[in-house]
Amino acid sequence: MLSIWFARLASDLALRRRPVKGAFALTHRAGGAEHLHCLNATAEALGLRRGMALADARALCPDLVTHPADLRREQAGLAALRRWAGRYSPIVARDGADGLVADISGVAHLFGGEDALRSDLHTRLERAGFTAASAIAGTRGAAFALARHGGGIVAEGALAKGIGHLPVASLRIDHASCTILARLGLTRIADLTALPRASLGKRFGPGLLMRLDQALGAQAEPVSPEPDLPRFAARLSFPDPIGLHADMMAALEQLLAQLCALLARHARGARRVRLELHRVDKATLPVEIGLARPMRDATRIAALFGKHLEQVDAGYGIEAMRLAAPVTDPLVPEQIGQGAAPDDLADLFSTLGNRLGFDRVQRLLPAQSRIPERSFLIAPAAYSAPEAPPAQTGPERPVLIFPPEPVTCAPTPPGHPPMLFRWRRMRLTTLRATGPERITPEWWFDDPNWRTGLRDYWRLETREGPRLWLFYTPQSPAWSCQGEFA
Amino acid sequence: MNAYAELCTISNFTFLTGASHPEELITRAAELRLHALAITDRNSVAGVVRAFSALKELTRLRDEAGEDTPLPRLIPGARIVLQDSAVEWLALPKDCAAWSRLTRLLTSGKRRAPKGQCHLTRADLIDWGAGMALIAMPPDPLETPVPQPHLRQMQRHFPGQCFLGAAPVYDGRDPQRLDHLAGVSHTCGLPMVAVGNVLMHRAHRRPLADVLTCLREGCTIDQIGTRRLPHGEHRLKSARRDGAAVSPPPRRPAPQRRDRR
Repeated sequence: MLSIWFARLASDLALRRRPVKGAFALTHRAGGAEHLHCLNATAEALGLRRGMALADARALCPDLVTHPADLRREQAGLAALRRWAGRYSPIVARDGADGLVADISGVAHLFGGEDALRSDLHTRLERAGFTAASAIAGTRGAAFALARHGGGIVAEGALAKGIGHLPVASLRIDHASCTILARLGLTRIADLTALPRASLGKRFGPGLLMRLDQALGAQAEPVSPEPDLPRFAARLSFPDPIGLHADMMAALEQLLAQLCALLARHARGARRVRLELHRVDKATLPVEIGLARPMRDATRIAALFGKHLEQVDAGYGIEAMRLAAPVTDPLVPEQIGQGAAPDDLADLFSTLGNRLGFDRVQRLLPAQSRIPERSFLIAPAAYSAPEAPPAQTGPERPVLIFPPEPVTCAPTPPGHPPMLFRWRRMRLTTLRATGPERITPEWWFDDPNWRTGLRDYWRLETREGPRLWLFYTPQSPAWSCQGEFA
Repeated sequence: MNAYAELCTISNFTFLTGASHPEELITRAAELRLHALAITDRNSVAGVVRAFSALKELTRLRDEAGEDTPLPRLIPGARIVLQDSAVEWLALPKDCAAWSRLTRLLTSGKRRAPKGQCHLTRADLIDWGAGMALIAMPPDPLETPVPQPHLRQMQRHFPGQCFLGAAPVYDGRDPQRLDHLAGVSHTCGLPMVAVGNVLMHRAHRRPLADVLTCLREGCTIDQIGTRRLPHGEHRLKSARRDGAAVSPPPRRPAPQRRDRR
């Protein structure tokens, strides 16, 4: 078993991205105070420790450079290291938040022995900027303990001797047991192995004995490797270069069938599909399309590619094609036919979106506000679901709302709409007026359009035909028109 | 001075709804020279006491100053919200016996409900409602039909005591609404009474009223949406309409106010 411990994983990852000279630390907010989450070697040399309050750390080291910790990025970094460690063994798993464990049974001779494997590992990690310690031992527990206390190799059959000098805390036991053991004077693993098992089990429960057995090999502890995430891609090479549109479409259909089968197996649908055409002269032509909803229907996706492939310049011919779905969404299988409406609208959004851009195909969504301008939302159609408007209650609203347009008329007596007015260079006469509906601005939100204060809305029927929605602003006397009824 | 009495006023003793103290309402009513002010909290008479002491203080100050300005009369009352009817009733007792009947009614309703609530039915109001002016406050007649049998039932038990309250909403449909209510008033035989549905003593309490709505509904001010007050017209007003104020052109004679004593 090979155990690798990254003592300063978080700060190493942060410093790889943005190098900092001098003392550096990542801070993490817990319980209302900032604490040091991880530090670099310079900071540790200055006496700073993990878990120290940031204020104390600043007192010790005023020019400490700090960044907030990103735990998710740290996990992603460890996952990347796990993938990299696949070069030493096919069975690699994450061990805690800052370690890896690999089963290297029968692998070491490929690297020229265990020593050579370790030195190769350390050279590569050091070049990449990681502080790492590693240990090789017969059991996972022993390798874990040794990696966190100096590292090294425990020879075959000398487990008890090899890790006997390590502190009991390295056995992965809980903190409470650790404290009690220390109080009893049992600080080394060798102290524990010398004691009778029965009394040890009675005093500390089965957990301690299990960890001890796992470290000494009396109890098996296999490594279960994590499955790699599926990669939604397919590739096709041709014995002879192709250049005809029909040939490319045939190849695309073959690739799409593979990709869609892969997507179906993982119950996912593609949101973006990227096709790379590798030409004979080593040029790569990428063609990328977006989909308005997650999809794994080969014929529909092929139809969207058709237009793009016609414009492709094949040059001396295309020797390979690669199809990938870089963005996917969950898509559970659902029954089609049987009354389910065909999703023609989503196809239309896909077609329009690929031509015009997906942000430009928009839809209106209802919003809750008494202010007419804010009673709807505009959202990109591909990334929103249609919503039924709420049931119409309250006063009637016009079918068309536009930004307020000035209306010229003679001064009106208060509480009465104008009898004669001009709007859009039309002379209009009021036939009937209903109102007023008084709407005041939302006091918590400063809307520049509503700086003129409250509005009295009137519904006006004119002799000339238009039925208009006019409002009067008593606080700065003027009439404006904001909508037209059907 | 045109005599106007505000008969439907909610103070902050209707929790998380009213946005003014009873003292503020009384003081404002005195400024506006209102004829009378009824404090009608939802299933409660708790605000009446504070309003009464405020009025006493105002009377004392006026007497000390030796002025002769009229002060509004305080009408104690409650807004009775029933479990089995959408119509709410403003119960305004006319004498001391009716006042004790009103408090009895509220006590019996509160005893049978968990704390903070009051469960009353039409039968309770019929049992205890003698000697009060009862003003029906139906739900918006343009959105839901007025339950006329409920009005008729009350009118049968208390002939001559029941009225139909008509409050403007200022949403552009007040003429239709008043027409509709006038029709209901005609068919049920309940005379119409103008009320203001007052929530606050001045329009600048509108932000507070909206915040109270947020607290009541458990939302933030950004999510309040259409539940906010669209305007500050639910304030205490005088009989004289200001020039800028909204005045629906009346199509029929304005509903007359009945003096009840």
